[in-house]
Amino acid sequence: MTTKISAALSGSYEIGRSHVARIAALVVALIALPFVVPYVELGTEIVIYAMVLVGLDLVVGYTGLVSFGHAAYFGGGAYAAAIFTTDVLGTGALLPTLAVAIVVVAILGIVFGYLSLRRTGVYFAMLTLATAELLYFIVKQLKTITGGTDGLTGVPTPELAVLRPIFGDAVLLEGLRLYAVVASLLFVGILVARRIAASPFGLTLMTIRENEERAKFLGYNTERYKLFTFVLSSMYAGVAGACLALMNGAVSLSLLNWTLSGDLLIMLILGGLGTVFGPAAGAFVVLLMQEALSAQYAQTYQLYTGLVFIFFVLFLPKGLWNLNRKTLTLGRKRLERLIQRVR
Amino acid sequence: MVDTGFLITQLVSGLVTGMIYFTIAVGLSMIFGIMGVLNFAHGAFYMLGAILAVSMFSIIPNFFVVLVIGTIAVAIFGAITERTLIRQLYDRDPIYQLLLTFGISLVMINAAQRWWGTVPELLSPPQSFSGLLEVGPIILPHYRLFIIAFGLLTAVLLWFMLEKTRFGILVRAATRDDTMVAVLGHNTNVIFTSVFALGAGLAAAGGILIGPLTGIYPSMGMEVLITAFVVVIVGGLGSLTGTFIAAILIGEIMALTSIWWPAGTNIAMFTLMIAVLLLKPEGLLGKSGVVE
Repeated sequence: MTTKISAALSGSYEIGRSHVARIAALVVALIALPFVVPYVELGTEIVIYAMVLVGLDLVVGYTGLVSFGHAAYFGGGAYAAAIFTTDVLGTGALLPTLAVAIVVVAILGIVFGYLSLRRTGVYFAMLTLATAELLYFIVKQLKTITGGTDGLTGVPTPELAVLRPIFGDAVLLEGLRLYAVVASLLFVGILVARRIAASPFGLTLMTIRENEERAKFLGYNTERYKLFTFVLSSMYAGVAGACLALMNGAVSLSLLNWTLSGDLLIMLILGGLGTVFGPAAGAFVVLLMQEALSAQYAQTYQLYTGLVFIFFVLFLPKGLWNLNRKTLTLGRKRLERLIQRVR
Repeated sequence: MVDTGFLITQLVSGLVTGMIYFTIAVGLSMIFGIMGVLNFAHGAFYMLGAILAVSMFSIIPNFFVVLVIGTIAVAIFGAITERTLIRQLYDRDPIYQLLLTFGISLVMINAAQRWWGTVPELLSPPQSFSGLLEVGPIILPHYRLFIIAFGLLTAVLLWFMLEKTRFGILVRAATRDDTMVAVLGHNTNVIFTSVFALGAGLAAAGGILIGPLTGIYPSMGMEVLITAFVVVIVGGLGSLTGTFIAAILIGEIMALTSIWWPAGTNIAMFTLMIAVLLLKPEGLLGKSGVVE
C-alpha cells in the first residue's frame, strides 16, 4: 500500500487559538532577538542554528532517528554556497545560492540517508557519523576547490538581486537587514515543520519512532517516510549553512567536523525534542551561554556547556521547552535516586 | 618501487598502531557488547591515562610504575563514572547513554585543557627499552617491540579471562542476554561496572603507551575515538579476535596508505566502515543476530 505524502499533509491537528498564540509569540521573539543579544551577528547565528535544529528535530525528535552526522549538511551547504558564490556567481546573490545549496545538500542527504537508513538504532547513528566523516576528509583532500584545512575566504556579501527592479540595485544584506531575511527564513521553516509535525505525516513519524514494526504492519512504507524526513532535515541544515557562509564571508572544515554534529544534538536535547520550538530555544540558550562564558573562559566554555548538558540528559531529558511540573518532579526524583545510590 | 627495508619498518609501525588501537577498541567493544553503550568517553579515558602519567612522571620518574598506577587510577575513575552517571540511563533509550558519554568526554577534555594545559608533552620512554634492534636494513626500536609484545600479552590474557574464568563466562553470557544472567541470580551491576572499569583502564594504558611516541595533549582523545569506533564496527561485537584482527588491519591500512596515498587514510577507513556496516554489520568475526 503506497502512501501519498501530499494526502498525508492535508490534515492538521493544530488547535486553533493556542496555535495562533504560539506563532505570534514566535514573531515577537524573532523581532526582539537582535536587540536582546550583544551584537546582531550573534542573533543571526542563533537563528541559523535554530534552523538546523528545527530540521534535525523532525528526524531525531519525531522519527526517533539519532543522526550524528548532520554537520555534513550544515557544512555541505556552507561550502556549496561559498564555492558557488566565489567561483561561479561572483556575487552573493542570495536566492540562487540558497537554491544551489539546497540541491547539493539534498543529493548528499539522499545518498547518505539511503545508506544510513539501511540500519537502525546505534548502527544508523554510526553510519551517519561515518558518512559525515567521509565527506569531511574528501573535502579536506580537495584542496584546490575547497581550500582544505585553510578553508575558503572571500565569500561575497549576500544580496537580494531580485529586488533590483524596485531599488535600482541589488540590496546588500548585512547586520540587521541580513538578520531580518534569515529570521524570515527560519519563521517559514518553523511553520512548515509545525505543519508537517501536526499532520497525519507527522503522526506517522511518531508512530515509526514508537514502534516501527507496528507501523509497517499497519501498511506504512516506513522507509519512504524516514528518507523523506531525513532529506528534508538535510535541506534545513543546508540553507542554514549557506546563510552562515554568507554572513561570515568564509567557511572552514570545522563546519564539517563530527563534534559539530554532537553540539547540534546537545542543543537539541537542551531545547527539547519533538517540539520544533524547543530546539530553537536550545540554540538561543546554548549560543548565548557560550558567548557569555567565552568572555571569561576563552578555551573552556564547552566545559560548562558539557556539565549543563549532562545535567539535562540525566534529569531533564525532555529539555527546556518541555519543562513542566511533571518533568520537574521526575527530574527531582531522578536526582534523589542518584544521591541515594552514591551514598 | 619502495625500499623493502622501509616497507617492513612501516609494517611494524602499523602493527604498533594496531596494538594501541586494540587496547582502546577492546574495551569499547566489550562495553558496547554487554551494555549496549557506545562509550564516547572512551577517548577521554585514553587521554586521562596519558595526562595522569605525564603529570606523575615528575614525581615518579619510572615508566612502568606510572603505567600501572595510571591504568588502575583510570579504571577506578571509570568504575565511579559508570556507577554514578551511566547507570542512571540503563532503563532509557540507548541514545541517551550515547549522548551522556559524549557530554562526559566534552567535560573531561575541556577540564584537562583548563587545568592541565594544551601544550603537547612527550612522556619519556622506559630506559630499558630505549635501544634499537637492527636486522639488516630494518631498524626496530625496542620500545615499539615492547608495545607489540604488550598488545599480544593483553590479547592473550583477555582471551584467557573470557574463555577460562568464571567471570569471563558471565561476561560472555551478559553480552548475549544480560537480563537472563540477572534472572539466573548473578549481580549484573558488578559485571557491568567491572567491564567498564576494565575497558577504561585498558584505554588509559593505550594512552600511556603511546605517550613516548606522539605528544600527549587533551584533544588526543577525540582524534582516536572515531578510529576506535571503526575498529569496533569492523571487528564485530562480542568478538575479541575480531577486534584484534580489525585493529591490526586498520593499523596496517594507516601505515601503508601513508606511503602511497597519505591523505587517503581516513577516506579508506571510513569507506571500509560504511562497507562493513552495510554488507556485514556484525563485523568480520562478530556474531550475527546481535544487530538490527
